[in-house]
Amino acid sequence: MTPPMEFAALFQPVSPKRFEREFWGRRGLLVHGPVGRLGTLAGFAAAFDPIGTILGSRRAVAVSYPRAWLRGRGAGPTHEEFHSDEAMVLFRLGATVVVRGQEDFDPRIDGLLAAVRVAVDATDAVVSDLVLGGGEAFAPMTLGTGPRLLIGLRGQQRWRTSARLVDATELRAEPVSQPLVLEQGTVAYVPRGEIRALDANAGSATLAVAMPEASSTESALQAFVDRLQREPSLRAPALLPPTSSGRSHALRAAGEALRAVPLALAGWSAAAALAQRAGPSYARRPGAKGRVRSSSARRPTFIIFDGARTREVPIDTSLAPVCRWIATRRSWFSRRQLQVAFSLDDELVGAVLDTCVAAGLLDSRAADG
Amino acid sequence: MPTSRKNSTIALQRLIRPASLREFREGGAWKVPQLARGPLRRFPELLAIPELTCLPALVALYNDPIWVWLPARWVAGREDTELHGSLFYPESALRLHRLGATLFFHHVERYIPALARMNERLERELGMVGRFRPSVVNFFASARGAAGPVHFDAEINLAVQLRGVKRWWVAPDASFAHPPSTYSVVASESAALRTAWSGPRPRRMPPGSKPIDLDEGSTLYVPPGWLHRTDTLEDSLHIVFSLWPMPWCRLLGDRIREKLADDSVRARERERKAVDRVAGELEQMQASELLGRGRRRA
Repeated sequence: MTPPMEFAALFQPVSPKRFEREFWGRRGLLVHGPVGRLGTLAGFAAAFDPIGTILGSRRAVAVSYPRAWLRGRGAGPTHEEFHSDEAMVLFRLGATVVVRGQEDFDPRIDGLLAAVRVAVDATDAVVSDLVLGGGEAFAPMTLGTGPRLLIGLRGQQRWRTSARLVDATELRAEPVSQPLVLEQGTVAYVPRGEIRALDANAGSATLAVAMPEASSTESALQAFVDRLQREPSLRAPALLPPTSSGRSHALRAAGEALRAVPLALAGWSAAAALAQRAGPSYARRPGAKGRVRSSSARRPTFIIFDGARTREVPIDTSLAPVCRWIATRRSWFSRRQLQVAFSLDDELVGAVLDTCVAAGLLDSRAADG
Repeated sequence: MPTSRKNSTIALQRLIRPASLREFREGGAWKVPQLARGPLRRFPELLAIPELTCLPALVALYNDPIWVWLPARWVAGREDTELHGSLFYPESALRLHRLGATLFFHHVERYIPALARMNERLERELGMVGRFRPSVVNFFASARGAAGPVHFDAEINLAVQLRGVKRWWVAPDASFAHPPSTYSVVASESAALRTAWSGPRPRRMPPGSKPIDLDEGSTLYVPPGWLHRTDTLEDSLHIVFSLWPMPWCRLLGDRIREKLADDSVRARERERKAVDRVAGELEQMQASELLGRGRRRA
């Protein structure tokens, strides 16, 4: 992991090297500090308008109902999705809302997510949720499981995570007591486990960034499980009847399933399957460089220098972070890695990579397993 | 409504008759259809929920778009057969039902929590070690003349006929044992099903399929992987408790994931090394370890 400056700035005073050594993928971290240290994100925190943000999202918004609106415990769902204009009304009435995908509308959040993608070598889409507090108490709302960054932008919100977090600001060794209180400028890194919002003051805002880490084990595990599905006894339901004979019955079924594993894997290579799924790989050609030139007045341009000559490729604004990611890569990456990290469709990914190869920026090699 | 929580749930035994609980869980009864007839008053727990026997009341309660399966004659000849099932807002769905469409209320327990408690008991009594997906309760309202397409399900479905008469055509045996996902002649297949199932895809009910007429109060269990289709003989309401036990292969994956979860170097692990480690764990896995110590679902 080589954190770019924007990512590293989130965890100051913890240095990037210390973050990688002690925290990344292992322990949670909590950092308090002025919002100003967050660079362009501080500008977003100061300027954004919650109502405009909800309305402008033009997509389903998750609304957590105030407790007072519920008709007793267990009487129905505590949060549901609404159209953005409906969600705005409910937010004004006190409901807390989660606006997804703000990176599609704000370049400052998009910039942060691009930095996160590079830093964590993301294997899945890096996306953001903006949690806007309506002020009324609500039933705890699960945001999902880690790894995630929680960044306090405004006001105060309380969150609980199942991961243990260390307070970096006070350099204490013992875990931070929960729930976590997120205020403006607070950053929490949660490596794994469930994350729940407990309450949020009116006008408060927290940005939650899902940052799935690269995990070769997970890819391998999925490939194996997919293959195991070929054997009927491995597809059978795992049941443990609550009776005196239930456990021995279940042990027999489990044994039968395990005996089918070699049959399912006979003549199959997991490495080849994974390579096939990842598609061709790419790396920057020695001596070649790329950079994105963008200005508010002109369409962005991907400037590619192949060692002998420079080419300028006009690109769509939405592709600027993709091109920046490609330009900063130092090692081989797969087509699939790029596709999932930016949630791109197959055709678009192919077009971008073909352009980079044709312009001399990238070398490619086939999936060989 | 019954006052005690215990009395407001339904024992699994009552939904799998004529099989006994032991035959169903530890014998082979769960591999074949089970049909039982009797008056609906056998299920006071369901009769205590008025929305289950009054469609407009359920539509008023259900606060989500509803899947509407349009009459086959509306879709016949169209290229996009998947339009057969489309989402409509509740009031619009009710209008279409009056024209002959079937309404599919997915996840109805979100609005009727008593049904969620019934599912919890069924899961417990079935002995599910883990959930592949959250168990749900689905509700179907079909107008006379409506037909359901040929398909099989992947989950354990326990149906109770609440109103009217519905004819089920059930294949004489399993078309595909323990499917990882649903197959339907009018929908696209999941990647998991394509991986697991290499055989030819049936387009119609196989020879020897038998009709089963479900009238009010009847219960029916059609095992996962058994093709079936339906014809509605009288305006019909029926409810289905859908349970999704985790299959052994996914439980195996979860156990290995748990064992490797604390490995702090995994993010930078080389892919080939990861493959070797997963293969090694698979080789060493014991039945008792796979089953875990718990008796209840994950």
